[in-house]
Amino acid sequence: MATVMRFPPFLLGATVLFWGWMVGWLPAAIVGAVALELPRWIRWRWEFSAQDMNRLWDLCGLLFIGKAVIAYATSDLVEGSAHFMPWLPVIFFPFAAAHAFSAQDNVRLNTYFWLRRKKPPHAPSGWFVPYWYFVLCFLSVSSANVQDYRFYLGVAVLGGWLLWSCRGRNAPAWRWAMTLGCVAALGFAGQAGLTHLQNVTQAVLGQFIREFAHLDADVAQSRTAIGAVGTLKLSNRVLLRVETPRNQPPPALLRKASFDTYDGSSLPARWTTKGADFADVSAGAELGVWPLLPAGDTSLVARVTMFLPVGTGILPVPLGAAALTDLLAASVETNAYGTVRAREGQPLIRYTIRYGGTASVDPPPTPRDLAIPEAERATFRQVAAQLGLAGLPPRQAMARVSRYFADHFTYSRYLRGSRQPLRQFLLETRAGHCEYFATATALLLREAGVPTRYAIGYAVPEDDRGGTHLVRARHAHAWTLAYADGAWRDVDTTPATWEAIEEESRPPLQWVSDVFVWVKYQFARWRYYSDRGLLARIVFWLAPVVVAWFAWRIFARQRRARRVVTAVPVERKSRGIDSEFYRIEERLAQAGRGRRPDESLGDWLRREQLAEPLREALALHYAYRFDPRGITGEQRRELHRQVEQWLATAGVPGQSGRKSEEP
Amino acid sequence: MTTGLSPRDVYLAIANNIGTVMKGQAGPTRRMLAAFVVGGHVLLEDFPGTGKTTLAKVLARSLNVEFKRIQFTPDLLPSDITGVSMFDQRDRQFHFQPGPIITNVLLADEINRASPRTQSALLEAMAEGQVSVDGERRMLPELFFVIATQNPVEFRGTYPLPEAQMDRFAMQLELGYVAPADEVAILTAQAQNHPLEHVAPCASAADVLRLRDAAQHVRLSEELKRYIVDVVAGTRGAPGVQLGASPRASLAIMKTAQALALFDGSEFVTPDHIREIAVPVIAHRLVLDPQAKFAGTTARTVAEDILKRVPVPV
Repeated sequence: MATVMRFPPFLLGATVLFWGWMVGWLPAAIVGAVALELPRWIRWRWEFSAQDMNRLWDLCGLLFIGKAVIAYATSDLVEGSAHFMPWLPVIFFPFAAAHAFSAQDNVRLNTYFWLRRKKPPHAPSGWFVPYWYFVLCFLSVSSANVQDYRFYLGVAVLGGWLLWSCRGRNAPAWRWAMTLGCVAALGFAGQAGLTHLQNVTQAVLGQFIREFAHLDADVAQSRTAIGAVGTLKLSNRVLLRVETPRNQPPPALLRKASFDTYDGSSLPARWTTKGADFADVSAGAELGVWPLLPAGDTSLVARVTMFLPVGTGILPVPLGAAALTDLLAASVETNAYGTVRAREGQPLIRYTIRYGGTASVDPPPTPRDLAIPEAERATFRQVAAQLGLAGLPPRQAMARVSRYFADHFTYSRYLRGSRQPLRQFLLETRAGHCEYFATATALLLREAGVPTRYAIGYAVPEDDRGGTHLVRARHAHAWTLAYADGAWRDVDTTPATWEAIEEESRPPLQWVSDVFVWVKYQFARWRYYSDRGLLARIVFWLAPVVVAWFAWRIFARQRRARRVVTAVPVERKSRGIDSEFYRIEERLAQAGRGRRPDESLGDWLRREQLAEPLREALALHYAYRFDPRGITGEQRRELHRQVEQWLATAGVPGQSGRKSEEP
Repeated sequence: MTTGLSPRDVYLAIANNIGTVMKGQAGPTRRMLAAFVVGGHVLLEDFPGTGKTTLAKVLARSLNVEFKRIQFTPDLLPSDITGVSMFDQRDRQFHFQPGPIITNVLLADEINRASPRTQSALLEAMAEGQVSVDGERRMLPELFFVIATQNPVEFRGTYPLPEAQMDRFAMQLELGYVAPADEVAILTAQAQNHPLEHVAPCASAADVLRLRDAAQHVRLSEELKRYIVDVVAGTRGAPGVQLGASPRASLAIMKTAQALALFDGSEFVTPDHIREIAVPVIAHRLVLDPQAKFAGTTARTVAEDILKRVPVPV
């Protein structure tokens, strides 16, 4: 006899009800629970073939994937799984119900794995459906996140119910119950402790992470490569997409942050600020409009798109940015150094910059904007004197400095390293990268009495792809802001050849990675900025068609199969199944002397050395079971008598079996 | 000539007769007789000196039937087995000289030493119950039983039987070494002369044919037919098996199980009979894949595993 797996009656229905109660779909759960338990009262069954079960499993798999795609496409991962998990029992309900109403005990392993479908069924083993459906309901319930005693109590009761059915027969029930109670209590204390630990850890770590990994690092200081040795290397990854109207050039420079204090005391040198708090920009009247300057010039337009991992970070903007529009974020903030930051936007952030005037969010200069470090003063005094900067009006000083760098300096990514890098740059090598030019310009103009700041950000390349400019990591740039005639102005003294030189570092297969980035960008754009309801609508209308097709395939086969079955009745094991001899088997099994599934009765009795005392009874049983001619009433009574006699006299420990009626 | 004994008594008489010579080999003897009774042939594979030839001889002597023996060698020709037509100078005609195959019990000793051509001549005779010589069909006697032997340790200069021909044998038996006590008994028995010389016939060919007829009438339930088919079908997808057993194996199990039931005096087959005979009938028909062979799997262990896996009707 095949070993039939047992599942405690009504447990599956109760689990489904618990699921419905927790996720708030009780009416649906009642219907499902009744459907799963109904086969206990009705006698008919479907004859599902292995292929039908395969199809049904495929259907559930398809529903699973469809629901997962919708959940992912319409919300982010955490929120999406919270929407998705409660659906699991619903998605796999057709399979569980089909199993409940089918004649088979088990579903073969081949059904669950496509790779195994082609192979012949290996063994009559498989995954017993009620077990995994039970686990599935539990998983689903746990995602409903009902954080009170009801959840824990339900899990403990249902888990205990399942364990009760497979407890060891030797131990008394009270001991079992006490053990389970202890485990449940320990589990409750454990999870309460874990929750507390999580809260404490989050509080401690949260602050740490914010300081360590996050945003303010970029704004408080900028580490340069001034004084380092080697070659500057920058990647070709696309960071920003800048779109402008066709007839309008893009903003040349997009600033991320600016700094007022040069610190060359330790090399490589740094630019720092005294630290400036961010202040919220009050949102405009329309959604997504963030005015930066109350009455700024908004004649020019540029739209920037970039990935911002958690939707929070610095937005590069040109110096004269007057307003940001179409920006979906919880808040936008600026600081005294002209940095604009968005909080809690989309991971793919998109904003339109309106700019044009000379006014900027940066406040007027402070004494720090004129400070020159003592160590560098002599060098800059010497160069300033050489250029005759003393006493020149700011605009003229800026022009002269620009011309000086343009005429006598070259761009180089080669870093030589020096104790006095700026001196070496100005007086000896006269070659360097943008950070050298920006720093030297800033300090030289300060020597001339012009307040300056050091700015970092991106230089937007001119190459135009239908108004879209791709800003890559190698377009990262540094330049100087100088204050003249009541406004801050960009002074970029790096020789214009720098972009061409950087361009040479472009790898030959750049387009391959560009294609991937483009696909990722398009997907993100579709995910965050298009009408996502469309997908849900398509799936909503497509799902019934798919379900109907599968149902038709399964039940069309079902009709054929049933016709065949009625024509050629399959012989079921029925004759002799009520033989009294099974009581002997039962008795010996209770005494721990049971028959192994691979033994015949004869082999088993020989092993237990009972072959001789039970020889006649076994012969009668075999005749009753396996002789096509059957046995006479007299022999049947004899079988009954022999079994009764043996059960009464044999000294086998265990409870006595129930009496059976005379035939 | 019939002895007038019941089928079961005929079996017991033959088995006892064999038992006087073959000490401690009751099991293999019983299984061999089951194949013999239902008209199947037996392949004995065992080490030299375990009594393969003796078993064949004592069977032939116990029955009042003709016994012949062919020692297979690489230069043996098909005509050496089937016989040949010789030209007679006196009456200027060809006369058929029957070969050793025209007999009741044939011992084909070391069958794997002959060339495939000769092997197939024997195997055709086994399958069809006839031989074709010079385009003429000659029927073999109704009681025709082949015991072929082969030696599992020597492979040099042998021609292993192809799978299709292994399938013609109803079962493959191993005698194995006997228990020390039995071996002592063998020494005692053969101290003076060979007990084989004292074996007297106890049954006739007609008795055996009557036994065969009775075995065919042993009843077999549908459930047990299904069990046989499940066991045989289990070999076809078993891991490590390249080629499973054929429906011929199912037939052989059914017939030999019927014979065993008859030997036990039962009128119907029980699961125990099927389980007793299943491994010897199935194992030699399986072709294992090389990987399984190198992993130490044998056809016998595969068959035993399948027998363990398929649920037994109880």
